Amino acid sequence: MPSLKEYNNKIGSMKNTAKVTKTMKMVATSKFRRAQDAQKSSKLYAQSLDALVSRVAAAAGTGANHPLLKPRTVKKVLVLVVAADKGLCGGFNNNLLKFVRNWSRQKTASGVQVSYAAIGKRAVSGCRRLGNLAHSFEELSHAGYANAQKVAETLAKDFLSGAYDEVYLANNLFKSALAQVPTLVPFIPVAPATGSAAAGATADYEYEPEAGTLIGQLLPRVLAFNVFSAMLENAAGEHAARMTAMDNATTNANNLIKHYTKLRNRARQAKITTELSEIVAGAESLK
Amino acid sequence: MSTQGKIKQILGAVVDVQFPADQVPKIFSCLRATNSAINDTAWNLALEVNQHLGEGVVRTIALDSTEGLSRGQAVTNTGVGLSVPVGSAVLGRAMNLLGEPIDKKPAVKSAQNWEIHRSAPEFKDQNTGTEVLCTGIKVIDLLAPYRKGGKIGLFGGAGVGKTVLIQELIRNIAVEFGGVSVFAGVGERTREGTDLYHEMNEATYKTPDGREETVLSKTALVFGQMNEPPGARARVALSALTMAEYFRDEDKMDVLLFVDNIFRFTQAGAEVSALLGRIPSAVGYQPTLAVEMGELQERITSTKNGSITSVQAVYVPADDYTDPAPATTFAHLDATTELSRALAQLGIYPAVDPLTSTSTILAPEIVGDEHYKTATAVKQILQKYKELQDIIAILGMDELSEEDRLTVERARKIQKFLSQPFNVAEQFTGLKGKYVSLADTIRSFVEILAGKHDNLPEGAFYLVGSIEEAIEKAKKMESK
Repeated sequence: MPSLKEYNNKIGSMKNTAKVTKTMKMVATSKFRRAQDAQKSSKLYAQSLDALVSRVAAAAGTGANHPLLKPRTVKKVLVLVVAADKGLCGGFNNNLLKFVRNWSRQKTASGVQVSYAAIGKRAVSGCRRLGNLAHSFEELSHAGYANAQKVAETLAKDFLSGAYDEVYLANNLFKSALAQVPTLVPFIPVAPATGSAAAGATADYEYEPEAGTLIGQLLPRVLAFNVFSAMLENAAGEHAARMTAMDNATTNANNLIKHYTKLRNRARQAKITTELSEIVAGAESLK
Repeated sequence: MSTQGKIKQILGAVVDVQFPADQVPKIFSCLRATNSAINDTAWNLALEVNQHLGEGVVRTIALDSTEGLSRGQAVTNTGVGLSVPVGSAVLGRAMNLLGEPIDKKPAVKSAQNWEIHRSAPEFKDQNTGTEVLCTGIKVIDLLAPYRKGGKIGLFGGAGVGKTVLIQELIRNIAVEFGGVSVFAGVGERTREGTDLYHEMNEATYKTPDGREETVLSKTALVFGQMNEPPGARARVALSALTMAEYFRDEDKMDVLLFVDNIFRFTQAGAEVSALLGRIPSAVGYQPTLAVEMGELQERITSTKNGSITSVQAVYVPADDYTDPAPATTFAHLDATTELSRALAQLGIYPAVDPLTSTSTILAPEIVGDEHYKTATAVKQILQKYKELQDIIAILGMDELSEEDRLTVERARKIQKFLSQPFNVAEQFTGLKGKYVSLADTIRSFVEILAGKHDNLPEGAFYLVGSIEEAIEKAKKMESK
């Protein structure tokens, strides 16, 4: 049976923890709103961009032989993992890393060498454990377009130089405030959606400069935007995950405080009873 | 019969006797009275002088029931202290604290009787060896090993398995040991005493010349159980100890002394303390608590002649280790095995707390480097798990880093692996008891710590002997 002092220490430290987690939850809530807005608008932009790319690619036809579009035999792949800078957001980072690990195990089993590039501190440390960390974009983890552009350029260069035959993008997809789903999609070579449904209305556009040249200018932007979009998904998901995790933590801490307070009071009463009976017994035996 | 006195006052277990002023009996001498409420024998009630009140009056503690006594009744002074038969005659017998048989066999005939109040061996005669005593119980051998000739305490609250553990120890050690054992049943259940007697009668060992003999034939059992008056419970440990001392000093043997439960000795002392007119001390215990315990414990020691290895169960009231009775006992022991309620509630038996159990011989120069390192590593990983539990309770498993999660997984496996099926608990677990050798124990834990068995499910580590059995169990679980 711990002493009263031990109980008080324990309750005190738990109260502090509860305070911290509660504050973190509130901070995450306010950040989450902004991140969610950005993520929503990027979704709309993504749709139009996809449509544009497949339209231009269709128009270019055989002229679209840009190197970023060409698949090759796959021997080495690079996975760009986008995760949070900080922990304390439940299984957000770990789920993604576990997902990536399982995926790369399968790849490795089929004879493909997997390397990693990572955005966000947690992704960096996670990928380092998996081995083969080729790029760490720790300082570019803020979700900004300029950062995304730099990342995309580096990866494209790697692909074009032949260092990797395929590049994948892994991040948490923000479904809702309660659900973030880890996904892993092919990134380079770009595979524009084909068919009329993807291209939208089959209006006959005229391109200036011609479609073949245009797609060459369009592709780097598509890549940069895809990275940017992954960063936004990640940011929204991170804050949402932190909100839930910290809310749970606060509830757990409060429950534990209640539990230990009960135990402390019991110990206190036991102590008083013992002291009383000792005084009474002492007085009695002196009579 | 020498001097005669008369009963002056009867106060429960305490009786005042008036003697002629020039014939006052000495402290600790044994007086006899007749109490027809016990049986029809004359002089059947023993009284032990504890205080001189002046003017020829002595205050005595009755060692049996005082109901039926009356004032003015005659009391004789035997002139000697309370004494018990010693030597080989007591082996194979069950006795009360006076050495009278309670196993329905004829009286114990011994060449000598020794007084139960004796002084402790002198400093120059004492001897401390550093040989490890193997118990075949994983958690004890690894984390808090026992010393041959050492004093060991089993601490635990009500119902966490002290008696089961001490019985398993008797089984494992006494059978392997082959020497003489003395068992003192102090204020515990009579039923357990009976069980023990019959179990010892059935268990056999091989003598050096190849004959099979029962363990009982090498054991003396002395009982003063719950139903007996405080005087009996306060002295029965001394009676048993006296028999053990004879084997040590006269026969120069190595002796095992089991005491279940030393707390009842203190409790019995507290019961008569106030009646003797002492003012209660902390938590209502007798003010002489430390002295009484010291006088008993100092005698349980190994000398140049022979050794007494003692295993004492200590009841911890309300699971409070700071209670004066267990706290006083602590100071006297070489190794303490603490049983924890939290582990018992998890179903981990023996519920030995790996972090608070200690031993003075867990040092690299005594147990060897590998054992020491393994024990330390096991304690570290369990300590880490305990620290992480608060984090898990608040933030959940997800927040843990990869390494911490591995630590938690291994710690949980180790925690389960510290359980072990007992022979004496076969009717509870339905599993055959397992004796695990020290080498097997160390090897098993080294393998778990090295992560060799990270792929086995947690349940496979529960209630098994060595690591091979865990692997076996995992296979069985998988095939189901």
